[in-house]
Amino acid sequence: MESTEANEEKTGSVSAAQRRAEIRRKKLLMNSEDRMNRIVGFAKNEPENNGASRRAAEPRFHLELDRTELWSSPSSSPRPSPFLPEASVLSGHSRSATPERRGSPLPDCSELPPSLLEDSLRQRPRGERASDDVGGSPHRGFKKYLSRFDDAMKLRGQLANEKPSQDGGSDSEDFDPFRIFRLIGSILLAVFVRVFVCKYLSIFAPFLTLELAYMGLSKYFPKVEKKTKTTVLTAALLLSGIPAEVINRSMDTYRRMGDVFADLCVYFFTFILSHEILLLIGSETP
Amino acid sequence: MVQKDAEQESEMRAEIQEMKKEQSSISMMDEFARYARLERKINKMTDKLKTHVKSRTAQQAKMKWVVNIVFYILQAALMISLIWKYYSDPVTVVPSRWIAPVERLVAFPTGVAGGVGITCWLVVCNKVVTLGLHAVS
Repeated sequence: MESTEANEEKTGSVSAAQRRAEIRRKKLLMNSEDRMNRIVGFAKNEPENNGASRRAAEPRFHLELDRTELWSSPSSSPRPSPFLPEASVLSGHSRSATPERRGSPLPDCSELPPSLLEDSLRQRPRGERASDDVGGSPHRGFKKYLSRFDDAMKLRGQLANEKPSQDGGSDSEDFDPFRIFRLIGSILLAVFVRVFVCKYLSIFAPFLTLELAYMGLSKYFPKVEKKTKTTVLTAALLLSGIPAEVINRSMDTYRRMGDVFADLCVYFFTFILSHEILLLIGSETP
Repeated sequence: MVQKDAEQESEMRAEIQEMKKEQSSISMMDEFARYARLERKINKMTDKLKTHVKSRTAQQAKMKWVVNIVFYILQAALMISLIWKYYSDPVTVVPSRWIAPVERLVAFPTGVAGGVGITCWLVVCNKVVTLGLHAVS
């Protein structure tokens, strides 16, 4: 009789223990991702911030045109891979450090009431937070390395895509209406200056005036969006840590300087040519 | 060589087309073995054609690259030879006050006041021809 009662008590306590173990296991499974993120030092808000910062570091001159194609996939799909192996390693560490984390219940825990168990589970993350800062920096460095690696791979892809298009056609400098206007203006001014103005002042003064006028007139012409090419130089500058905006501005300035230089060359060429033609005509007329 | 490759390719394409025609005339249910044999032949020929096309395009790209390099070398050699030969002779001479304040730069390396040096003229012509070619192409 007593043995049956004892057996019943035992089975009852075992089943209660089993029930508690089941509850604990379910809780662990439900919050495992959050807990892993906390262990790894990857808070809930971090992925959003990192996505934004990564987007800021990404080359904007391609983002405007090809953002959805090129950069949406990494931003839309969070990177689980760097954390999964770490998570598995860390979970192993955490298991060894905190035996209560194991799925199977321990005899010590089974004797504790559920409320205390819950408190201990809640408190554990707080204890882990102290170690988060220590473990956070190598993970951040690892994340940074991975993001740079991703950027390098994407830039390599872009370069590979742009190479056939460059090989297929010549330079992609299209003549927009403003450019044509500038060149024609330079030619006409050169002829005018040769005929009327050069005797009185330097030929470069009217040219500078013309360039200033172009700067003012540029807003009246339709703006042609020039797709910035990803060259090896821009890729190298991006990977070396120079912000994309700085590169964009420098490229823009360089492009403007190139336009001015082209105008100057056309102007000077036309001036010398018209000078020679006038000399020829002057020598031919009796 | 390129023509020969193109002929080979067109032959392969014609062969594939014929086999596909033949395959379309065969009923898969009635003559499965023959259909499958033809399918395999078509796949093999298609792979062969793809490899052929790849190698041809790679060869063409290589040739293009070589021609480009040779062209650039010739251009550079021509420029250097012109500068070497005419470094002291200006292209033309204009009153120096016309091209102030950069008369020295324009006259380099002739040293003639008001002269237009070969270096400056080559740079200007290079740019103008590039722009002209862009406009034409």
